[in-house]
Amino acid sequence: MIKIDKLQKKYKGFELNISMEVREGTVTGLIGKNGAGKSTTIKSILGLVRPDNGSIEVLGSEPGKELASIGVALSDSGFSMMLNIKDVIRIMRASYADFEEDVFARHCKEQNLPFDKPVREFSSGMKAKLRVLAAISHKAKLLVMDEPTTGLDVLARNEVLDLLRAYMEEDSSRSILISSHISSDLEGLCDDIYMIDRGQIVMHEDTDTLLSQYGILKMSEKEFEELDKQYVTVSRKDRLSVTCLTKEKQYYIENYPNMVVENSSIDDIIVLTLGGNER
Amino acid sequence: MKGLLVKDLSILGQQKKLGVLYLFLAVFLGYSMESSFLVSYFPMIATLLAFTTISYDSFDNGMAFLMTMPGARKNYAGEKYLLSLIVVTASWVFSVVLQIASLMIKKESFVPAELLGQDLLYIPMFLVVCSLMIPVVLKFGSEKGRIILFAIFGGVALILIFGKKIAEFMNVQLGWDVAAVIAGLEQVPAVTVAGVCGAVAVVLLLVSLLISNGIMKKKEY
Repeated sequence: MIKIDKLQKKYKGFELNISMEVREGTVTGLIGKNGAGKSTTIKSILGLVRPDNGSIEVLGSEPGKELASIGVALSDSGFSMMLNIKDVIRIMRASYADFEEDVFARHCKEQNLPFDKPVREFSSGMKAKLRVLAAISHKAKLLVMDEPTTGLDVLARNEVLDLLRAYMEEDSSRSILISSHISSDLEGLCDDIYMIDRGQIVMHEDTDTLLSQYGILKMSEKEFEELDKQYVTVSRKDRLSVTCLTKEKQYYIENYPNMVVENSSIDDIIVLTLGGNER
Repeated sequence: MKGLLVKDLSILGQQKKLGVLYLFLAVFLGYSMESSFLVSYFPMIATLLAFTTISYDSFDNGMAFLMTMPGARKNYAGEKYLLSLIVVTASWVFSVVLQIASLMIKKESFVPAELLGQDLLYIPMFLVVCSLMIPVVLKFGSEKGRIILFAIFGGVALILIFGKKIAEFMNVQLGWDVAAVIAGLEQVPAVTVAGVCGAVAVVLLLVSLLISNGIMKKKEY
């Protein structure tokens, strides 16, 4: 669905340099701090910015060519604030051959979005919902979503994630690329996750592997010195203890029965990977 | 293209209150001023309103999302010219109807062919404004675009102010009889002048469209 090979994009004080892939039938997550390069990656995929080097293939074509088959929700950009949902329906009908007007209108009603109010009078949560609903309304083969749940409360976030799950269930060949800083969204939705930091992919793993095989080890500095570190990915020294991230939790459970070994959430992995020291 | 046009017409439709205000002003001014004023007034307002759609597109970083819609980047500039053409023509027709109504109410006599010939001149004039304005606004944004356009019109105004001196220079230094040329032009029927101006405006419009398409192709969001 998406294949990025050695994409390079340079800005003053920032350089993006990544390769990644979104496979057919999968939901791929992109996580990273603000300014890590998530939005530049997504904009490159959509043809909004031009790469300096490398190649991007989206649905078998160059970026910006197959936009009718891509549903897009951007965090900081959407329909003009002047428009209302009735206008949006007319625009979508004129822009997308496969626009499902009835489904879109039903979803908007279910989410209590007013049809006559201009978008500028919507709350940030309502705007986010409208962006997602528009993206899933025209039978897109691929969804590209940059922080789609930003500004939503927990309930609304779950509703949006349910919509995305339903979108995937309708057709097994569809794919989603989603960036988010809310890791719980990604844990429950994504098949694989890329972690990006300072313009580089620092980790790529299946979500199941992340949640089942990765673990957090907690120990004293002395224990850390004696630890077999071959499966330690990163470590972080605090005042009195050392916390390590491992990809082989089971190895340490079996070989260090007295050590504290905890399951790791994606948040833990982010904090340690982006804030820790390598081994 | 159709989606973009529907969007812009929807945005213009949201400005109905402003339109009613302009209409009242036009009726008042049309009654108190020369009838030809109406024919310049409405297309001018309509042209400015068409340009505001570029500002609304850019507001709140809206262009990024807009450019993810099918064909938007390729057709964006072309659609702005089409929109301008539609609003200039529609407002011109409306103005001419108002003008004729105003003349009839005031019981002023007029020759329809002559009146229409004079009125027709306004269409190429506004198309030239569009040709200048659209690429400038697309390249520099609404705010900077407006400043640059004021500078262009300021330059034109200066040329007109110093036109007499330029004519004198041409007379004395180059031996051209500018007064005779102007007198000669006045003999040409208004419809012919409008036709020539129209042809020039169309060429300018096409060149401007090519430049605007080039600007849109290079833009990043």
